[in-house]
Amino acid sequence: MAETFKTGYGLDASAGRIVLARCARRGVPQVVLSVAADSDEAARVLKTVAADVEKGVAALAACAPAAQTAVRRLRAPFASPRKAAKVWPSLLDVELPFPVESAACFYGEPRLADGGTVAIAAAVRKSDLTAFGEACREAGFDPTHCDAEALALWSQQVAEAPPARADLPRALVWLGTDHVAIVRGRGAEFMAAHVLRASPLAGDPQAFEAVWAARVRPIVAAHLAETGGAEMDLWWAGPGAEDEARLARLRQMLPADYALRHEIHRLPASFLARALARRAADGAGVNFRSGEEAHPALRRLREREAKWAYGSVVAASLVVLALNAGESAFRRNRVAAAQRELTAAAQAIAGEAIPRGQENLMVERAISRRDEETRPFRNALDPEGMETRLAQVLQDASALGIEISHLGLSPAAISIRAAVPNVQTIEAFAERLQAQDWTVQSEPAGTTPEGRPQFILKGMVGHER
Amino acid sequence: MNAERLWKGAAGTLAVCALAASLNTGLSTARHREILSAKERDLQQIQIHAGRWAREDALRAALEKQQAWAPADLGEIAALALGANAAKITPRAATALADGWQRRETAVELRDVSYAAAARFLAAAAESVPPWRLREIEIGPSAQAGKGAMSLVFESLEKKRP
Repeated sequence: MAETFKTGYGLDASAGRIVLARCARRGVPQVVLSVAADSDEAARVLKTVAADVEKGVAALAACAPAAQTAVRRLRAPFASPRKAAKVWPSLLDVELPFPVESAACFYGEPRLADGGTVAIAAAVRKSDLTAFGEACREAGFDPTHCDAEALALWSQQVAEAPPARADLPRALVWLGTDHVAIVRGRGAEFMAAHVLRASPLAGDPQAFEAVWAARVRPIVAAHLAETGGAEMDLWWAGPGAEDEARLARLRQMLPADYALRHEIHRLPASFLARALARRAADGAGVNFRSGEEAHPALRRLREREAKWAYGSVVAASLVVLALNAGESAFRRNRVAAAQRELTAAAQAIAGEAIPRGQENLMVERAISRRDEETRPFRNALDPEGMETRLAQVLQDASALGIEISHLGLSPAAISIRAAVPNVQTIEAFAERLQAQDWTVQSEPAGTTPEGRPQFILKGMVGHER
Repeated sequence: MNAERLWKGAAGTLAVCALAASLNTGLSTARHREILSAKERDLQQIQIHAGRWAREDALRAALEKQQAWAPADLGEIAALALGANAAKITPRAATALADGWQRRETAVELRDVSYAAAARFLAAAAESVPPWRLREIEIGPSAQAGKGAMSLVFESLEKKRP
C-alpha cells in the first residue's frame, strides 16, 4: 500500500454482521457502523463509501480470509537487503503449501538481524483472492485494499498498546466469528501468526475448547522459547472477547505454569476494522489487490497520478527548454551586439564591408593602405622634415671642417663622400649622425690631391620618417 | 494505457531534450565567454587606431577650407630665392591619394648654388600653401667651397578645383 488516502475505511464482515471503521490520514480510527449486513443502514453507508472510493478520496480495506493467508518470517543469510530481495520468492516458495507463482505476495520492509536479513512475507492464492473479491461484491461492497489479517491485528496492537519493553514477549488472541487468530511477537516486532479454524462463537463450544486446549499450549511454549522469556502479555480482541465469562473459561484452559498477564482491548469487536481503516488511510498495510486485480477506482487514481506526474515532468521539461532557449537567445544577442560594435569600429577605419571574423586583418590592410595615402599630408605637417635634417648634416660637416664633395639624402638613406682634416674627424662625424638617428658605416676612400683623407659614409635611417 | 504510454513517451522525450539542452548550455558557456572575450579584444585593438589620421584629415579640411587646391609655382619661388634661370624645374606625374587629392612631385636642378641660397629656397618652398617639402636631395661636387650642384625632389599636394 504505497498510496495514502484522505479517508480510510476498514470493513470486517463476518457471520452476517459488518463493522465499519473510518480513519482520516494520521488520525484515530472511529467505528461508524456495526449492524447486520443486510440492513438498510449498511446498504446506505456502503453506498456512500463506494461513492467516495469512486471519487478516489477514500480507500476501503477488508482482509483476505485468514485461513487462506500465509504469513511467514523469512531470513536470508546475507546482510544485504538488495540481495535478500532477490531470494525472498524462493524462500517463501519453500514455506508455502502452494506455488509462489500462483499467489499474490507481499514482502515487508527488510531489516538486518544477526548477520542476515529478515522480512515478513504474506501470500494468498490468486484464485482465493478472486473468489474473495467476488464474495465481497455479492455482499454489497468492493474493497480497494485486501489486507493480511494477522499483520493488521499486530500493527493495531502496537498502535493501541505500545510495548513497555522492546524485548517483552506479547501475543494477541483474536476471537473472530468463524476463526481464532493468535498473533505473537516481541515488543513491536511481529514474529508469527497461527489460525485456528474454529471459533467459540460458532459450532460446538466443546469442540472448540478441545482445539483451543490442544493448540494454545505449544504456541505459548514455542513463543517463550523463541523469545527467551518466562512471562508474556496476552491481549484479547474480537467479537468473542466481549463476553468476559467466555474469556475467563478460555484463560483457565491456558497452561498454568506460564506467567501470563491478560488484557482486553477497548472495543474488541471493532479492533480489526479499526486496524484496517488506519492502515488503508496511512498506506502502512498490505494490499493483495494489485496489478490486474487492482480495484478499478484505484487503477484510475493511479492513472491520474501517473498522468499528473508525467504532466509535471512535461511541464518542468518545457520550462527547462524555454529557459535554455532564452539563455541561448540572450547569448546570441550578446554575440551579435558585440559583432555589430566590432564591425562598426572596423568599418570606421577600413570603410568597406567587413567579412565576419576578418575585422583585424581588414583593419590592418586599411591602415597600411591609408598610412601610405596620408603620408604626403604627414610630410606636409612635419615641423622639421628633410630640410632640417639636411641643414643639420651640413652644419655638422662645416663644424668639423669636412668638405663634402657628394651628398645624397632621402627619407630613408644618406650617403656622403667628403674630405676631412684627419681620420678622427670621420669618427666624430659618424657619432653626430648616429645621434640624429642614422645608422652609418664609413670607409676610407684615399686622399685628395692635397693629401687630406677622404671617406665614404653610408647610412640608413633608424626609423621611417 | 495508450494515453499513459503517450504521456510517458512525451515526458521521457522532453526530459531527455531538456537535459540535453541544459548540458549543451552548460558546456557551451566557456566557449561563449571565449567568443565574447575575443570580440572585445579585437574591438579594443581596433579602437586603438580610431583617430589615427586626425591630423592629416584636419590638414586636408583646412586646405579645402582655404581653397588651397594647388601648391605655388616652384619656378617662381626658385626665381625669387635664387634668381632667374637658376633652377631647372621638371614636374613629375601625380599619384592619387585619398578624397581626390594627389601627390605632386617636382624635380629641381640647381647648378653651383651656395648652401645658404639653397636653404632660403627650401624655406620659401616649405612656407607656401600647400607646402613644397623636400623629399630627396643630391649635392654634387663644385669648384667652390660652400657651393654645389644640387638635384632636389619636392613633394606637395593638389586637388582639382571642384
